[in-house]
Amino acid sequence: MVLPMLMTVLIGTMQYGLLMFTYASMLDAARNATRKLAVGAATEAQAKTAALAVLPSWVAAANWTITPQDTATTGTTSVQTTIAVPAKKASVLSFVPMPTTLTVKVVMRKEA
Amino acid sequence: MHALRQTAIRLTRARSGAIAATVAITVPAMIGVSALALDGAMLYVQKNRLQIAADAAALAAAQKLPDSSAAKTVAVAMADANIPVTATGAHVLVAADVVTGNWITATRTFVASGSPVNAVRTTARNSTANGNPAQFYLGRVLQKSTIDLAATSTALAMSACSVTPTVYTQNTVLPSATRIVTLGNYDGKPGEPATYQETPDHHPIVRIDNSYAGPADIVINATGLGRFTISVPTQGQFFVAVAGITNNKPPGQLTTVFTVFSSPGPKSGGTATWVNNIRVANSIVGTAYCPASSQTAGGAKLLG
Repeated sequence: MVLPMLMTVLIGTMQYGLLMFTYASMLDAARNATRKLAVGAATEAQAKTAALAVLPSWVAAANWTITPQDTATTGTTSVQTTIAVPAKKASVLSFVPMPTTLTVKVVMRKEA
Repeated sequence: MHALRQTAIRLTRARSGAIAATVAITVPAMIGVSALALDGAMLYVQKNRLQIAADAAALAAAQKLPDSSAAKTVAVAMADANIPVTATGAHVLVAADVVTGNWITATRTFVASGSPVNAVRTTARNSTANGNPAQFYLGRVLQKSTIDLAATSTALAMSACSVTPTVYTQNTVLPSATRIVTLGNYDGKPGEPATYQETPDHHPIVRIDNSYAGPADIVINATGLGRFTISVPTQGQFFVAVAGITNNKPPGQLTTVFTVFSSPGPKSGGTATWVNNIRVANSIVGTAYCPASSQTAGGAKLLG
């Protein structure tokens, strides 16, 4: 009775810790990719490559959905980057409640 | 009596149930510790999001300066685009959280509401006052359900000029006569010979005083070198690199005398000699002036 409960607390903590780390990495990657787009230092493809390089390596590249959008794509004066990953792919185990998908979106104004 | 003694002996030796009791006592502590770990991580991430929103807002607003009103509008919109109202229940950044002001490069300080307006400071927050405090999840075990978070960002508007500025504003003096002044003793040390300044590409640096209340094309005469037109934006004292003259002689061999040939405002009869002890100045003192026709929309620089 005691062991399962202890393990749940322990593994749950680790699980959410990993999710948190993944989410923080995604924010960081999206922010940097968007900044590159905003100052015109990278194309959408280059921003995507740059973002992928700083995301946690234990998640297979195919699981990431990285969508950098320059002004030509957004149709506004803003550029943005959306990064999404299924939460199950972002952590080791998946028996504690988790959001289905982790998504971050960072928007910035394109600099002339 | 014997049975009672047996029971007492058995109970004093009994160890089963000890784990369950220990766990029962320590579970609240464990959950509390887990709460600190997880909520701490959540807060860290939320603070990071706020910082990203504040940065994006500041950078966008800086590009709208010096129009403070437009800067505030775009800052709020940009913060909302990064952290939607639906995510926290309220705007993380409102117009009052956007402060325009003056960034003093020399001292690297931001003066709120200072002039001229060249920088903007934004603060994105999750706060009880704004109606969107950051939520604790497991922290509720420790009788704490919300906390206030804030992130501040300052951005500097970058003025872009399509031409290399040659005119630098020096101060707010309004001269009564148009004249040309060489910078003989300007930065000379006591006891040393006066030095005259030139730019790294060897154009003489002089000061032009414009007495005309408006933009002026001042024609200067340099003895033996010809006449050159200097355009200044308004009445005042300006540092100017005379782009038409290039000093390609060894120090001490180029000598010229500047006089004002013609100007819209009254001119003085003074002359200015530029000779000997020429020193390269890596930057011209003052604020670069860019003609309105050469100004282009600039970017923004994050100051932290």
